[in-house]
Amino acid sequence: MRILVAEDDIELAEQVRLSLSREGHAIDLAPDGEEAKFLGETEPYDLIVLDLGLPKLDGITVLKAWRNAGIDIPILILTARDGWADRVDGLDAGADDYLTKPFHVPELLARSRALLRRNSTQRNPMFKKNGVSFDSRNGRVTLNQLQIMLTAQETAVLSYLFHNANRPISRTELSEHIYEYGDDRDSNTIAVFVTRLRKKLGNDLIQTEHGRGYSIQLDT
Amino acid sequence: MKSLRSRAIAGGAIWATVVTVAGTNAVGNYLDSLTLSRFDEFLSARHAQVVVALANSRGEADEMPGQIGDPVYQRPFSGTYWQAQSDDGRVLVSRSMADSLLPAVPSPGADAAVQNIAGPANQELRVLSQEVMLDDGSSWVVKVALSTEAIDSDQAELRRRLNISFAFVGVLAIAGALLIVWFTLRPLSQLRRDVIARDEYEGELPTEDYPLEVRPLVTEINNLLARNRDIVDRSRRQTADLAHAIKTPSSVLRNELFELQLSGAAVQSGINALDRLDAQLNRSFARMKASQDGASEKEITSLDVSLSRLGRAFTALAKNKHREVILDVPPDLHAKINQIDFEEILGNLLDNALKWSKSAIGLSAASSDGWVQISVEDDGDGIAQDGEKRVLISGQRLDQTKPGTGLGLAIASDLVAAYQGTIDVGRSQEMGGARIVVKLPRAV
Repeated sequence: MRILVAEDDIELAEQVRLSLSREGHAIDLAPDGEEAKFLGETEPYDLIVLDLGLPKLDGITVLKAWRNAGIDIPILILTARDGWADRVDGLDAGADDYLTKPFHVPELLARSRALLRRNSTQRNPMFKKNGVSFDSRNGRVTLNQLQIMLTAQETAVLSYLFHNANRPISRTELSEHIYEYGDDRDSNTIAVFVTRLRKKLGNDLIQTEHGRGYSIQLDT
Repeated sequence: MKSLRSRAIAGGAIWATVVTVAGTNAVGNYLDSLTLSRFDEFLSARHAQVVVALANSRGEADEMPGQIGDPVYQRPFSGTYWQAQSDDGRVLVSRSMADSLLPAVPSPGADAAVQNIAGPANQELRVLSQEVMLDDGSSWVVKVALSTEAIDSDQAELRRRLNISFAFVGVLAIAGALLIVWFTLRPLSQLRRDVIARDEYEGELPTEDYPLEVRPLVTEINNLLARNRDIVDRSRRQTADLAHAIKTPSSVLRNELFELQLSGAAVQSGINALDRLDAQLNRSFARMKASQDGASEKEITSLDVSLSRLGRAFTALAKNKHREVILDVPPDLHAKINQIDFEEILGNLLDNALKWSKSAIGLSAASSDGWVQISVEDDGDGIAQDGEKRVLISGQRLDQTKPGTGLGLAIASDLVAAYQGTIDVGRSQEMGGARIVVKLPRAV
């Protein structure tokens, strides 16, 4: 899944980026409000982690601009301001959840997972299909109880397909959601990742819908 | 004397007394001299009458009563007397003298002399004496005396009336002074009311509405109010900035320690210290906020607007937890509280409700004379009766199974107290869980 982290403190942003990418997500960092606004408007993120105290353009303004533009990506706001008025400002401007600093990264990860799952019907962080289980909490994949080692990109593709189960996903959409900003995106490599996934996890897990893309069918 | 009113009243009273006493004396003395000169004119007329009678009777005592038939000269000690003494020793007196003589006075000469003397029967007399030359060449000292009893009583009566009149004037002057004090001090009373009523709004006092002399004071009060607001705002911002400045590195530190712990390093004591640091900071920031609120301008929050905002915000949060927010807020309710503080109180309460609820939380408001009442309810397990007081104390966590600092309710309680409100913990009849009721002064 592709996540934008808008945080001006470089160390904190780096910690968050590291933890989220360990779960198999593609992370873009925005150090200020203007950059964050631009990225949010132009890239198809699955989640945005937005610090309200950003330089150049404050978080609330960025958040309102996105919501006014019809962008309905789940947004988790970070606030160091001690007080509910700030959080309420953020939530009322269209944020979906908040975390107050100082926070535990595991707490941030848990909130992120919950928001990422929000659009899927799944409430459980464990996705299961045909003996394959994908733990969205740590990106770990098992086949019939045996752990399977996947590359970061393979995990990302699998994660996106599980989170968006029951609908066909085009290669372009997949490439937009697994690569970070500035990565060399080649939608042809998606086919390579899918082939490798099928080899590791069995052919029945990911289905090809001709001309429309790939899908994982989950019981609802 | 600290009171302007008593100063003005005392000043007015002293001035009224001075004016009354001086006025009474001036007018009284004038009237005294007026009556005395009238009396002297009368005395002079009587004297002329006696001189004429004396001339007509050519100094013969027997002829005098025929010349002056006035009965007051016949009745003994009537208070009206005449006496004529010639240079050759003849003495003529009115019958009213009853054979006594008027006391001797220094020789008056040809000019009339008037003086007060003691007369017969202990009468106070005023006597006019003059030396006259008759046609026959004889020289006479003619004296006419009148009792001053009448003039004394006249003067006393005049004085009495004068005192009554001036007493009335004095009372009027004091009443006038009171009226002037009331009228003059009215803008100051208005200023006091306006300063009290500034609680109701953020704006400045209207300088133009006051008299010229009070305007500089109003301007100064406006400056002070603005500076006060400025200081509170600045210290609020500084607190918020400080919180921001400390909390971001604290997050970094916490996460580094967490990573180290995952890799097997013994850093638990470091994490514990950081926990204590964070808890201490949270409490301090909350305290700083509460003390700033005590000093700040009181403002008005529309419950309609603010609770709807909170309702929308918590609906977003509730959705993440698959809970429902039930909102019941009537329009046109206002509380005397700063909106940021109001949302701090309700945010903490709703956060707790959401944490403990099973499927829904309720947010409702109502009003009763002078108060607004905001209730936050949930359908969780509720708070045990012995814990109802303890949850309001900072750091008291009755249930350790869910994350939290134990500060939420304590912060809410501190803030509510800063606005003279009350907070009550109980059980919800409708939803079955906890019910927290916040009462705040109502603004109309």
